[in-house]
Amino acid sequence: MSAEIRADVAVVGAGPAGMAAALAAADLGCRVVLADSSAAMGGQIYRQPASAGAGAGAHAVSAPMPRRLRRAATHGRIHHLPETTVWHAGAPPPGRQAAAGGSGTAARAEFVLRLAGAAGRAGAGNAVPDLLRARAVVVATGAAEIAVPFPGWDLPGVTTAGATQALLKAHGVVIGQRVLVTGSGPLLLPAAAGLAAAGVQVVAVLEATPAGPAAARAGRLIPYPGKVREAVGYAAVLARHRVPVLTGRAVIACHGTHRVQRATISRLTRDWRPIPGTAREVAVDAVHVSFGFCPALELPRLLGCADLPQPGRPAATVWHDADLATSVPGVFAAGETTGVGGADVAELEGYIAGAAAARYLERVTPGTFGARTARVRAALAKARRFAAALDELYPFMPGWLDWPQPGTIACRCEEVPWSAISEAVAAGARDVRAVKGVTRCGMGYCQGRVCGPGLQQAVAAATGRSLSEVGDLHSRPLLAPTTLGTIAAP
Amino acid sequence: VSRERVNFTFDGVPMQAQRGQTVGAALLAGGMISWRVTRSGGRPRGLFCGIGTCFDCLVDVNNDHAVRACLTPVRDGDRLRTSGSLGADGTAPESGT
Repeated sequence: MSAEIRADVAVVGAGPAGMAAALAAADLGCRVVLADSSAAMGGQIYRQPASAGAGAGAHAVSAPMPRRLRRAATHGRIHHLPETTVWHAGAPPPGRQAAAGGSGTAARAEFVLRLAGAAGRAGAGNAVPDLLRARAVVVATGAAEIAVPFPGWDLPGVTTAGATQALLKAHGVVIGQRVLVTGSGPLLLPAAAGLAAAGVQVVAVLEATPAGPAAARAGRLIPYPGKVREAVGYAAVLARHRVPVLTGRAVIACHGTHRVQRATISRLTRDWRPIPGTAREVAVDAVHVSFGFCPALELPRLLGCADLPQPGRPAATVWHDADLATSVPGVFAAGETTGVGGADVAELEGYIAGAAAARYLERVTPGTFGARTARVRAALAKARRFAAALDELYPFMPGWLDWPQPGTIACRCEEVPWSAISEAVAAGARDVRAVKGVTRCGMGYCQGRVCGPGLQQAVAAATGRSLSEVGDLHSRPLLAPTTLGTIAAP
Repeated sequence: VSRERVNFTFDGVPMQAQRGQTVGAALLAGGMISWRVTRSGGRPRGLFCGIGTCFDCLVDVNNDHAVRACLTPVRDGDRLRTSGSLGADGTAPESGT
């Protein structure tokens, strides 16, 4: 299809941040286009049932989409573009960008977003316009799940924990019947509870962070009773299904021919190094992994938005001010791209970012903007405090670097062995991009979205430099694999 | 959400799915755990991230090559093939079976 579509505000990503931003901007009179790769709004957290099997499992144990967000699907000024990928984006030349608070909306130059069907299949029902022109952009692209390499992590049946949630919520489909849920972070409990409620035998939940340090910090969550109740709810589901939750342990290897059949569980030190003599093997038919989330910075980087590095965390976040404005006039960010904080933070940031975009386009006076966002800001401050306290419970430790063997696949796309990373560093590579150039690690279909965080930590450890010094793989000219025909189209 | 069933084939083998299911969900529900092999090591691959990030779950759908099974809804009459089965000229064979 060759067509273009115009909007006052382009919102990229229809999770809670994007839906809230679209609502806030549209309520203030802006015409909004809300582009998203899924068929229905909601993002990963509020993924909607798509086929008749959905209903069991994840939906039985997780929160439904709030009614206030559902309004985005019927709002007269919100045009939803489902199953759409933004594969390139351009900001106006700096000279043509008016400073915020400048001389009227006519002076606002246009951003150009190039679009394609997300599924990549041709035919009716996939009528995505080629171009989206907008005078303001809200980046609500979310985050990618972190999985680190270990022997056998590329065997079929080993998936992210997020994959199990997506399959359960949309389709009621499960991957294995006897599974382990392993890694670190707040997704492990709901993922395991969803599987258990759907009838899967969850052999154990393995949280790499030991109970001691986590328990010492858990008291900081007490001021957030709603959130604690949610976690207690997951734990109750797991207890009812007799699923043990074990801390200071992880799956450090998977084994099998053609699919995962056995997994090696080891006890870990505080920094996640395997404790010798503690490994044991269990029979499983699936292993679901999650090590937290990494903000999806590809779109804001392409638009020229500055980073805000996060010490000790893989990848950075988008720099933003108190109104969620990025360093590029007219570009706003909300949700996980500003720091992984969960659905509540994302939604609240979305309301501010959408209203800020409307103010940038002078659809609302600064006074009205301030009044509209005051209550949201108070709620956001509290939600961010909770997110920070939760984040502190799950530090991302470097001891997993001891799990891969020399022949372990580091880059799933280009099939680069783990040993190639240290060989590249020994040969003089000092940062992630240099290692990528020498080894092809991160050069495949996923563009380093899967191997990137692990590669970054491996290069940092091998060179003795910091994560921000060695860099990451989030900067690239094309945001998704794109056919030459699409690129060549006028 | 419809309760209708749709028919499709994978490498010529007839299969059924719920309408609305993605190709990936339909293949998993049909008992498959992998549906392609990597081009250099011949390693089996199926669904990994499940949300369109990793490109592990690539599959050929009718005449479209290497689409993400986790994002693509399955439709009645779809002919799915192991991804990478391109002809010598870089185009897909006309027959799905």
